[in-house]
Amino acid sequence: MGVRMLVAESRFWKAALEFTERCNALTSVKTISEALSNAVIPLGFEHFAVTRGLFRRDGFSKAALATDWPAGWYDRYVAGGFYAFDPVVRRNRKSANPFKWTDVLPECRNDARASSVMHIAATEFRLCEGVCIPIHNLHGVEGAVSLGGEHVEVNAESLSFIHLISVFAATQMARVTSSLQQNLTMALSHREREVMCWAASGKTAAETASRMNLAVSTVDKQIASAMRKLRSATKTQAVAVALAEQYIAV
Amino acid sequence: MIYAITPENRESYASFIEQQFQIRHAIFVKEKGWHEFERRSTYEMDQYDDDAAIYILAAEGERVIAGFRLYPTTRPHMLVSAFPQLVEGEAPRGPDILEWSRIFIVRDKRDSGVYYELGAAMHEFCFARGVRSVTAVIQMPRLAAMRHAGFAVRPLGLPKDIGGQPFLAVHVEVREDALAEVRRVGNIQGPVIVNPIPHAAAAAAASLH
Repeated sequence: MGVRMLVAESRFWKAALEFTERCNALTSVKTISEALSNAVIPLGFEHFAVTRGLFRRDGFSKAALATDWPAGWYDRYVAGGFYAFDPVVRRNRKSANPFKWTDVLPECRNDARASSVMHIAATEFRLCEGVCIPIHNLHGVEGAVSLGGEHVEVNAESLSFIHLISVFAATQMARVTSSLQQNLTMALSHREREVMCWAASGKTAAETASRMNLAVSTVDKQIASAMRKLRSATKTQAVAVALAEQYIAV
Repeated sequence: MIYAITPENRESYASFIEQQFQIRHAIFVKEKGWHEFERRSTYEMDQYDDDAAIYILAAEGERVIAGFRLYPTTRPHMLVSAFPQLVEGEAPRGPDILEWSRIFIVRDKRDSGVYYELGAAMHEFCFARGVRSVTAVIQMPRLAAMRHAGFAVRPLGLPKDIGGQPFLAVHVEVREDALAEVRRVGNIQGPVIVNPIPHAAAAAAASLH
């Protein structure tokens, strides 16, 4: 028993080390996806999704960095708005550590929509078992790698392996996706962007306020908050950073 | 303002060091519950807070707001003494490798860019001292943040559960491109360490070989 565990562990360690080294050299989401897929298929994980920005209300398609899902499941998931009540997504938001899909089943009991997502995934798309790996930024959970299949091999060693390579894959995907290099918790709100656009075209706070039909104090607050997020000491600097980071365009 | 406080200049920064132990108490004992390191109900300290420890501390005026510790890996250190199970094979050790630990930021500064400044300071200090890499024991959620910040981080083993949380031993290479990346991500214009970084004392350097 002890020896078998050690052998399994060293096998997973070797594979993890190889993956993390290779991953750093990959420059597209596609190649990183393929590497992740190849690494987890032997454990029965035939499908996965990598998301970033879990707290966005604008839906799964915006949050998905990469998906390798059964044909039809993506469209069904997006069209059905499943992202809003998927119990795996819900658990991920408050979970620091990896968990199994089956762990969320108890909380689906009194939630018809949540249990229907799990039911459809399992019965129509053979997504029966899986794990979800939360991905963090400095402030908390900001995304996930969720992997599954019909039957998967999950034990302490395989989960450690999946955990480690998922973090490397997800962060490498973020790194190579230039628009996603921005830390989403630091990203500007819609209104902050609008205020900064007017600032970029030379409008004063008062002019912006009258155009946007807001109080001047509200505009000032939006500017102050944008400056903070862009780590800028002045409004001019904030405009320059916002333009450079492509939060706004003129 | 970030200060590099080494055994050679420590006398000049006694009040920062003192404050650091109190802040670490508030964070590591009170927030995280590391009661075994509580000293006199006011400090957090362990056996590596000795005469070889290096502290990099960020201060606003006289107030310490963040910091971390670096410790020679040529001595017994946390990774090899307390967490050997996290390392596959031999832990990297040597005169040009330090252990990075006790990274903290006071509660009201955690939304700011201080984390990136600390990362930049670690790189700056290591370049100045000829240190080529650091090892550290981290909680898994921190791994993604380190990768986002641009650190050249490599695992030293698989993550393992310790007290219900997955921990990971990492080896971080000190590289110019990593420093450039952390500066870019943190919107940092230039060097962040404001005091002259002392040369390692001859006696200390000799003991490393």
